[in-house]
Amino acid sequence: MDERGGIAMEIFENGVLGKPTPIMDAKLKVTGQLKYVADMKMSGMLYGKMLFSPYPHAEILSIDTAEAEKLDGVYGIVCYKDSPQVKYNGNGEDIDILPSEYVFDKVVRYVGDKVAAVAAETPAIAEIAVKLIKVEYRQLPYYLDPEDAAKADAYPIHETGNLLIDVDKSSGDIEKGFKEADVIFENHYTVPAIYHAMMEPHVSIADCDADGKITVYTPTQDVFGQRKNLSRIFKLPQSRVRVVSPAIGGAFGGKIDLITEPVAVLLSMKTGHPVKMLYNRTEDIQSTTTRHAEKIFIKTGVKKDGTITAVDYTVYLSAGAQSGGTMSVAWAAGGKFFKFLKTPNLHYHAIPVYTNRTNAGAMRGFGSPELFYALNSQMNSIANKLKMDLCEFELKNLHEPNTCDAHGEPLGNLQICECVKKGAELFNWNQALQEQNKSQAENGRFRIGVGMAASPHGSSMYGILPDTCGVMLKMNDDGSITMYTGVSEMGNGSNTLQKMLIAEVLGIPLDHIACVKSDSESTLYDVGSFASRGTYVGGNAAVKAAKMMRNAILLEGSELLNCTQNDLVLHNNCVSLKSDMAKYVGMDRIAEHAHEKERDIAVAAVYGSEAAPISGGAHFAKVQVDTANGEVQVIKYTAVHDVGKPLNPLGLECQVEGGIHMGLGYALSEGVILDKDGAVKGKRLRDCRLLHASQMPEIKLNFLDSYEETGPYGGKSVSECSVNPVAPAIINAINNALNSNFDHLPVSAKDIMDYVNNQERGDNR
Amino acid sequence: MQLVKLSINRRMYELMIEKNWTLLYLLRDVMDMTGTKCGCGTNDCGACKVLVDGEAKNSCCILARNMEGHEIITIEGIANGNELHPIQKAFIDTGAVQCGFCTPGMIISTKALLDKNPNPTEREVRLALDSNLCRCTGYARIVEAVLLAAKWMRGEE
Repeated sequence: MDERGGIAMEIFENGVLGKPTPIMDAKLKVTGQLKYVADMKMSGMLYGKMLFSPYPHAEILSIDTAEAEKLDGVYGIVCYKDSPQVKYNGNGEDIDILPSEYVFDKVVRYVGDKVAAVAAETPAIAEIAVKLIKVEYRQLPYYLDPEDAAKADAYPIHETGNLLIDVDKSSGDIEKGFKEADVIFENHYTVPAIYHAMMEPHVSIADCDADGKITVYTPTQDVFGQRKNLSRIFKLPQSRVRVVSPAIGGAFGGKIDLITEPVAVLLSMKTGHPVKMLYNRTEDIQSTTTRHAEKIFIKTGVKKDGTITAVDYTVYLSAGAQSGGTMSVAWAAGGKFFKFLKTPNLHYHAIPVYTNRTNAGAMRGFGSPELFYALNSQMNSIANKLKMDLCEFELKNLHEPNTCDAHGEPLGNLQICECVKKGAELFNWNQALQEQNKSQAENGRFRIGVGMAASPHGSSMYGILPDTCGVMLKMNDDGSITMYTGVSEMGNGSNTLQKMLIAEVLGIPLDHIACVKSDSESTLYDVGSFASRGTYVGGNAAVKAAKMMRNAILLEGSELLNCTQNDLVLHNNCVSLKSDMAKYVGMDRIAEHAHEKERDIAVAAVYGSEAAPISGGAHFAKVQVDTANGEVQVIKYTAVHDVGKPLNPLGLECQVEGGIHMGLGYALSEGVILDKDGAVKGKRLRDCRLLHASQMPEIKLNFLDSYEETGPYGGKSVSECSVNPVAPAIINAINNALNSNFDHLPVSAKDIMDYVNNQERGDNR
Repeated sequence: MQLVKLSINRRMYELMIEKNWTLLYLLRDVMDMTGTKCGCGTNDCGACKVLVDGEAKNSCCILARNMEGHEIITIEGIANGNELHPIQKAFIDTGAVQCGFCTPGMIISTKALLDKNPNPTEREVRLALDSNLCRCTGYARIVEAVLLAAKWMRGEE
């Protein structure tokens, strides 16, 4: 049977897929029973506490730990003198790219960098001990702006200099493209660093045993990347490093890189005790990763009819103090750049630069929120100048389904144009435009503006890295099964969907499937929970394993029912004759029969991606701007997504609503701001200005009923795509309301008041 | 250390505590009741909410020693044995739970609201949840869950 044809024919036969399904561990979460790493305790466990750098760039001249060591209850202190002399890149995906970091270094590179750490009997003792450590520093020149750090005569933050690796990608003939243009637009955009603000702060427990084996419990999105890194840093075979991600209280890309883990391991090695390293919120804000702060320059050539003839895009990425995931973000955004417009003449140039701030890295969208904010913002200003409808302008230039980008990379069944059309219809775009025009004519206190934006996103790492996921299944004596998956579950429902897919293939009830997950020792390799690959790659792996198990079940079934395997169907926890469903055997009998025949029903499948189909989304926003106080109220919001076949409608809705929340914060309020000495200005969670329940608009969602041939039952990605179009849709609406040209994020009430007051002064002149 | 008598989830405890221990520290680190989460420790996120005499309060900013004579209910005390409370059921059914870290605090705030106001408007729900942060859901499903739970608790289908 043809693999894909087979899937298409039997779609949703067992009625599991397509049904709104809550996340699998919801019951444990609503009762408070789910054990997150911070909830775990081990006998003899000590508490770690980090001493952080007060300077943005300095050399450590001396560290005196004598006082701290004398304190009762202190078991061990580590600093650069104890650190393995192995440089690493804490991002698993980029492990071999520009390793720049030590567990502890003699040079500190940002306010909040690791200086030393204490392990003590109680958190309170550890906290006192850290304050007793005396450090002498020699301050060095520092840079908070990537353009400054990129200058040839800038003091090097690393011995290799301040530039990471330039990314320069082009297609077509950019000069020719600009010559063909009737008008050329040049714009400049700036975006701030963004803190992930997952509700669970970073934490890990490291336990080194007498065999020299280290076990690390950490809410990571990437157990295998962390294992590889820890095995290299501590020079241990991977068989003696176990990384387990038992539960994740939100991640959004912020729990890929090593943060607390190597320090917890070092302390555990030194003390011989398990050590828990838990960041408080202030530490988490200043000393974990962020989305990149960027400066973006775009030059775009357009014909009078709205055809874009060339786009030249240059971006400075503020990488922060270490290499981390910056190069992958620069490359990934460079890939996505070509997945948006069908214009053949494109140039992408990314200049990633070390700066003296906390590491930038992956955050939901992986470079795309910045990229598509800038591109969609410029498209809005171009459409306005050309007096073209923004939707029409986008539709004229966005990629068509089942085509290739300018590099020949296939896009899959990308329905981004359909998303724009459907969104315009659901949002009632034309009527909204009339409201905007009416509001402009009235020129009152409250101005109505409408905006939209579109974005593509990938579904796997295919084409960038080998992208595999392994799933093992074993059947228990009673016909229930256990799924072993390397996919880390972040609350986004990836493991839930894997279970749904298996239940769909095998006709086994969802609650007959147990899940062992993201444990580098007991589950098969998975690349990690990023790149929106959970549904596509994790899902395909689950389907592949389930189909292998189906074959094993059919063998038992055919012997028990005296027929060929083709005569059978798996349904309702039974194997039945297609021709006579009353003739069946239960799954318990199947398992029993296998044992009688000295067999066991257990399979292991590794799925290797063969494509990276592109998903798409288009968002529409209507805002009301109060010109008396600068407040922006989002009064209508519509989002349409192409996710292939919607497999778990509830999960999809939850993902997009959450993405919109994050995007609205990006547009209107969030951003990690540093003072002139490099210290984070807002050190509390309230300072991060996440939107609260009362600030969220009503959201209308729609998912196209599309189908991705290579996807599990036709599905593809959703998560990251949901955040990309939000900020540009909102900012376009604000700019259209005020005839303004805001070219930075976020646009605050103060920005709006400054603009309004300037306008009034201009009018009076 | 001082001796206090505390009522937690309808059970009396006699405990020796330090005078600077917060209720959150006592619950999580001393009593191993880890259902209540710590998201900030600075009164900003609501993950550590517990009911104090029916009011939802951030336990990270309450001193444990001041709790004598008050009735404390944590997330562990919401279900009736193995039977989930309608609020918990509604959170599951509507998809209000993603990573789950804010969920205990959200459920506590919901309980405080619905015990006082069995028929809240959507606006009232949003305002009641305004001191609880969530980074996963955008609050849409959580608001839906509260309205659904209210309906169930009023005895409507």
